[in-house]
Amino acid sequence: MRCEEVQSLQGPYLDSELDARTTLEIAQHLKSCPDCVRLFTEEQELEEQLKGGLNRGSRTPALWGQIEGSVVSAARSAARSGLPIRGSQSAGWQALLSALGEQLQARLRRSPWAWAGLAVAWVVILALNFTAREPDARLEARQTVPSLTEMRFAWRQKQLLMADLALALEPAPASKANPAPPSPHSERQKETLNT
Amino acid sequence: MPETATTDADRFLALLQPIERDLETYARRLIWEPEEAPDAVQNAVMRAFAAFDRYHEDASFRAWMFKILTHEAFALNRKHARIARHEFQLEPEELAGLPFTGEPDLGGSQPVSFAALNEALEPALAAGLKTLTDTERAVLLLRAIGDLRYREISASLEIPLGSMMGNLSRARQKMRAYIARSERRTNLLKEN
Repeated sequence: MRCEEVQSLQGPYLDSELDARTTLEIAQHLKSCPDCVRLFTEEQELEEQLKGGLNRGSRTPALWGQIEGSVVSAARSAARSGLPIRGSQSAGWQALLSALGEQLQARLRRSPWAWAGLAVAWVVILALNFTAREPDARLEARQTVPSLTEMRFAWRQKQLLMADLALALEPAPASKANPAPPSPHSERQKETLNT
Repeated sequence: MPETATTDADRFLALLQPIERDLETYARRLIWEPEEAPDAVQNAVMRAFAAFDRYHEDASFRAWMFKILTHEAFALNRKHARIARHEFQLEPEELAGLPFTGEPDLGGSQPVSFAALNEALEPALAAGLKTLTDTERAVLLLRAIGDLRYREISASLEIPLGSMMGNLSRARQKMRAYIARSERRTNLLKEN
């Protein structure tokens, strides 16, 4: 293998990602090429430094205690609801939502002001709900119980219709020269409709 | 039924506990705002537990968890739209001056001083990571912290293997360049 080829495979070689044959070929090249050995050694040391630096960090016990508690709570919630977590995706989501709810509760417990805020929010929601419903209630009442005037009007209409129906059912007069006088009910009806 | 749920939680936690430190370190390095890392970790763990029925025994739990956490971190980073603002491109002359940038460089470039690395590693690393794209950073961290194989990284990020290797190579070059530049700045300050 030539130096260019060996160096192009430097990363995968140092990460042990190459197949056995290529690894062996590079190893053989490195035995006879001090320049490549120097570059590979530098790269490996730098990579170790970089990896060591990036890996610097610690586990936060409080965070993981909270997370593990949420997992256990979610499992218990799923158990209480009688739904297994495994084999049911919806149960899994239920567990997730339950755990998030418990997290919210835990945060609320830590802050007394959060409870006051929650109470105020509920009062506002109830007030808005109440004021929003009032016009609808009035409308419904008006629709179900008609006013006295409306009832009188409807009764009069009914009487007029009955009178018209009675006239229509009477036998027609024999002579067309003397048409029947107009019905006073019909005149009355016209007036009513116009008004 | 309750026993099944408890057993699942126990099994899940038994798999999770050995990798908790690595997951937290990974999240703190990958997410733009480190203070958001605990939320990301918590969300990722709860998502993983909710989907534990889809986890197969023969798969790597470590790789599976890192994949879920990566998606969570990417979503957070996208939400804040910080990538484009912080990302910067290396100047061509800087890239040309780097060793292992494609063309062989047998002695022309100066290797990075390890003493300088040790001296100012943490701030330089933190700042250097912000010079990487989201994918480059994830690839670099999944390799360095997650200790995942190339194929696992490729599967986690749902990118082709060749693309993953290119991203890893670029990420390492950029980190090296950033640290070298930090070293030059430090030396200049000392001289003045």
